[in-house]
Amino acid sequence: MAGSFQQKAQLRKITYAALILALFTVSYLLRKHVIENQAYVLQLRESARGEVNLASSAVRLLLTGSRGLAATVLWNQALDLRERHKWNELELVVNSITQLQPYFVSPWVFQSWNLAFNVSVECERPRDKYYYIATGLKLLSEGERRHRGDDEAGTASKRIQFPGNPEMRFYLGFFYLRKIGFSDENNTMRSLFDLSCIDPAERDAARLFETSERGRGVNKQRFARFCESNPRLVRRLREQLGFDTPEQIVAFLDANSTIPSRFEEMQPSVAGEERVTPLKDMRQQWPVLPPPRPSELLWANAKERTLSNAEAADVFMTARTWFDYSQEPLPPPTGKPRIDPTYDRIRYRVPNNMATTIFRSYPARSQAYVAENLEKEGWFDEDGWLITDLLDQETRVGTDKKYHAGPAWNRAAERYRRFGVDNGLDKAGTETDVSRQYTNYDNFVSQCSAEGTPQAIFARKLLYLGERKRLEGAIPEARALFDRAMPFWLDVMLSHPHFRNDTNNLEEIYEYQRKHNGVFRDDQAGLLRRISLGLNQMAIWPHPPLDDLLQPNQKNRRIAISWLRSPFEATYVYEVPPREEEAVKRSVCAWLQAAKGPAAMLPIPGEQSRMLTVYSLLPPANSSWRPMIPDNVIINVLSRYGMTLPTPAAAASPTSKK
Amino acid sequence: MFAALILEREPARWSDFPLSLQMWIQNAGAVATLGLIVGGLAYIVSHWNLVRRSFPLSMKVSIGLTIFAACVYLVGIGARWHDRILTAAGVAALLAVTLQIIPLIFTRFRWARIWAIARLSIKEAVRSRVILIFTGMAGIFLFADWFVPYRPEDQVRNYVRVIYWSMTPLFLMTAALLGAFNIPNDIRNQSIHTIVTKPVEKFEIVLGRFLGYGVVLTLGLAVLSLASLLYMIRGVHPDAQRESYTARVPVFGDELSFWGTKERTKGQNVGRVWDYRSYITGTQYAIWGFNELPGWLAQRTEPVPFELTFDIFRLRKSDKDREGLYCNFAFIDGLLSVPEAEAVLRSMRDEERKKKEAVYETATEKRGKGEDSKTVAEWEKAALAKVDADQIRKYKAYEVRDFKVVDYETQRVQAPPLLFSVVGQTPRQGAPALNVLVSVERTPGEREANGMLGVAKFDFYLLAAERPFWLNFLKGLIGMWCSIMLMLGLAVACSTYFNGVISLLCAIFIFFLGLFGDFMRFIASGLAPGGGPLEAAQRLFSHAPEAAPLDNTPMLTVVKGLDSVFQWVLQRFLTVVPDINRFYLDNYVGNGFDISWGQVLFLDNFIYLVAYLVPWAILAYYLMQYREIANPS
Repeated sequence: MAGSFQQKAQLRKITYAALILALFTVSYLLRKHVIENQAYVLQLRESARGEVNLASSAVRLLLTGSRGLAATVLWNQALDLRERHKWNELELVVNSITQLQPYFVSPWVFQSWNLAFNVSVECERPRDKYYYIATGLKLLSEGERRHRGDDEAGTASKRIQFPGNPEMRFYLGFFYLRKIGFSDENNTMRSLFDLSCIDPAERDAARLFETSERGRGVNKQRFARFCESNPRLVRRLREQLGFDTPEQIVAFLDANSTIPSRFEEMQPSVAGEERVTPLKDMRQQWPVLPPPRPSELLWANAKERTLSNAEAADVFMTARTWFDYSQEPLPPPTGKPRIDPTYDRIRYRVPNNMATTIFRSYPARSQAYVAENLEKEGWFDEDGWLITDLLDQETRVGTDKKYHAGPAWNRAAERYRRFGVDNGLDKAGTETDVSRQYTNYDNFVSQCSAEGTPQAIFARKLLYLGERKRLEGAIPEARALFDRAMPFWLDVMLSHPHFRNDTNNLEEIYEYQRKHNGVFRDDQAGLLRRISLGLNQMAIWPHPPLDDLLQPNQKNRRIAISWLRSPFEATYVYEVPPREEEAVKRSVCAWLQAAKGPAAMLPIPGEQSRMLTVYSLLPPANSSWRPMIPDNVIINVLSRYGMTLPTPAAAASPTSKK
Repeated sequence: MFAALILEREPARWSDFPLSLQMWIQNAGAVATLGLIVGGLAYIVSHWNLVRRSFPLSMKVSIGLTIFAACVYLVGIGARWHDRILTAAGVAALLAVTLQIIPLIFTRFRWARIWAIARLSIKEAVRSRVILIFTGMAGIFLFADWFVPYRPEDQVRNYVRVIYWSMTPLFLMTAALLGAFNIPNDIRNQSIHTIVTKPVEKFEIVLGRFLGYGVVLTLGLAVLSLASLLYMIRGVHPDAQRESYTARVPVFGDELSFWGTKERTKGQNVGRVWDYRSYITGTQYAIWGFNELPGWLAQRTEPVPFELTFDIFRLRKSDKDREGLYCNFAFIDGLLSVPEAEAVLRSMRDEERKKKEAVYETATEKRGKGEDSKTVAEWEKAALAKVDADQIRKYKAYEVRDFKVVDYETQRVQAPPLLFSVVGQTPRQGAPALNVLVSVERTPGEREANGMLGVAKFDFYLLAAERPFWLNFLKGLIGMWCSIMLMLGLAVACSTYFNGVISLLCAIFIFFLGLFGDFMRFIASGLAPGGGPLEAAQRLFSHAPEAAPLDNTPMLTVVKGLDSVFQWVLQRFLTVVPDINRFYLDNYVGNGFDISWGQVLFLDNFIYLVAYLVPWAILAYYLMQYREIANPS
């Protein structure tokens, strides 16, 4: 019967083998056709959460349960290394931490902040600072890619689409703004940022320098071409950082030739051939950028050699692109300040640490920064920048539309309006009033609208040129420019009540006003001294010959021009709620014209905006008239110069009487 | 650039060797006394009948020495000559434990037998394929470039760090596995009987195993070191080459002191958590005292380079992109105090100015008279050099003024060789041969300096020579070798008593304790912020901040008392814990500083290794001796 046992055993083995085969086949087919499909639809794979890193996954699996312990030890070590200024080791440790905890947002954000802020601030040289800012941001962008989810989120599809992490994207934009756009050394940082976006072959100092009979010098033709293609960078270096000669500018390019860049390392040149350095892979580039979007969205495009053809590429535009990208995972706006609490929580994400309304305002805010910084650097309109002292002949550069401030401000105003409509801030109501207040919506909309007007652009341009002349010591030219700018600026202020009431704007214009006073005093010093002496002489009886009696320094002290109130200070406006001011002015203007009769029915240009305004050295008796520049603004500005408000003027002003 | 050698624990010095030896005798003796008492009592209790019948003389002497040592330890703590008394007790205890071993070494041990066991161990290690673990390094060589980010100037530093980080665990794990499992496996499989029944001392087996595995590990380390070196040097970036692809031979000052600050040994605290550096500004000085200068300096004709890497702490934000801080470096005879040095420097500056002005005037006159301008320039140069030389001879001082120090950048100031033949080479009247006074100068265009200068003892040194990087890289790996041998020694010693897994865990545990040795020493010193563990716990529960004083209550007195007991116990315990961090010399290699054969490798690493392993070897001897395995003797 042994044979029967053997047969049974054999049968059993065959049955088991067949069962195993069948189960494996079934499980394989089930996995292939059902589970994988479901995993794709339900987005259960690791790849659904974002980019996958094989090394990171391998390390996590190898460490099994001790991953948390390892990450904690490394975290502690990272803090210790930071205190010990061992930056190179810190970089290694930080990378290890993020590889161990790739799906935990805090390590990415904290450690990138650590590198970009805490480490960079310890470095003395701007190049070193820039390197660590870039390292921090690159780390965060890697984290963002790991949390990117489905980049097609938001497109019409039945399957579940995981959104990216809005906060990580937001912080990328925010770090760009804070560490490059507004840092203490922002001019250098922004210049380095621009260098990172320029082909290394184009900024190669060896190409720009030449050796001639007279020695080593800059090749003027190549340098002129460099200026034409990079006017903002050259102008910043010349005007903001004070590089007076082409040699100094090229030396700056040379000293910073090895900074992180969008391009591959420069290849050695072949004689007579214009080199073109290829772009790095999108993920390796610095500045790091989100994936490209259609060109009509005005998006910094990492796949193109020039970040944008429609706009002047800079750090603010890059930050705006990240802010735009951070909006994609948010639920669609509902026309109300609050988000709909029933939004699809699988498909959308909202920021954890910030009010959604404020979060949504950042793209518009950064567009305003784009415009503001164009003007700060002297880019207003088609006049561009006239290079007078760097090249052999006067050359005008940067005349393209992308360098014009007007369209940039208009885009900012448009973005703000759209933001207002999307979030219901354009309507009145208790809830919207609160949201309007904490987003400072009214002021920003008003600022963007006001700054985008041709008068404002022109006035800003005159003020900028006047300031440049003042710094160069060309006082009469500076005074002429300030003289021309002030009426235009007054018109802008009077026709935009919200803008007029914004303390920052008022302080800025009052500073200009003081500078205007200063150049006026310097330009008319002789005349003013005589008038002042004459007035002093007339005040005393019998009139003493002060001109003979006083020492020169005593005579100078007689000219108390610095205490004189300026035209803006002497302008009083009738207080009307800002939203109604335009309507009231229109009515008053119409009534006045009607009163003057048919002959005067056509309004004088700017007449309407100057309605409800008086120019008076003494405050009007009616307390509804307010000074356009209130005392608190004057005190703030004066305190910056170590001065205080003169008592008689303070006593005379209506606000101080209160 | 950040090529700074940061040494938070100074390497041992030859001058401290007698004291270290004394400490070692005391600590090892204390451990030996404790071990003898516990082991002796255990032996007497378990072998009472045997002890009662025959009590060998050597054991009587051992017991006598142990009782003597224990009594002296008890009496010696707190006594006036406690150091000498405790050392005597330590010697007695060590004599007691080695009384059996030393005669054996000279009479019974045969190196041929030990070597035979070592060869067997090598063969076993090769057959067991444990050494295949080393191939793990191939992964590092292949993929490190992908995952190691670096700035060009950090390339060498990062690669060195990655290679050390990768090789260390590989070798430590191999050493622990080899050392921990072999003897227990031999005992479990009873294959040890084939050896111990031969005329072989049990301890020869331990030594043979240690030696054999040591050879395997050393060969593995040598091969991987050469491979790592090739990996390192295959493509060094020029910036990295300039920065750290070298081995600077530094002559450090013997002391860093401060003048004008609250404490002589410390500068100002700027609030940094890591207080490795002290800061000076304004009228304060950092003074490096060089007790002895190398003899060859007097014969040198080239300027003598001094290198520095300082930290700058900015006092205010700068409106322009400035870098650097202007500093003065005064090289002056060590006999002079700071006020005297200041007076000398003032006089020197005045006289130098006058003499140089006279030279310039004479040169102008000569040119005015129509003399050849080249001849006049040469005369002027020679005259100025003579003025400088005369000044150095007269004042025994030399000054570098307004030197721009850049934050964390390795920079060089040079002193004329004449100075070193004038100031002498050795200390006189207890004062150093040369003092280097560093002070901060006013920032140009401002009322005062725009920052403070952060200095540490090892931030400033005389650059004696520069040696090749490759040799230094290999020297660094000798330090690693010491740590591997320590792990092997621990594992082998534990395996004489415990089974394989327990031995492995014990060795790893003790080794890892050693990694945290610095932290434990800090806790044991009582200097940790917030007090000892109980006080810290009290602060934690009462939400009291670290720096705030606690209310003086009876509870606090009890807590502090218990903390001091804990600290005393911890200090004693720390004598058993190895100091592992001293073996990791990548700090030197990565930053381009030479590792000295004598001071760092031999004294600080090798002697320490031997001193640490000897007590473990003695323990291993006794543990092996009293295991129940057939004994030929």
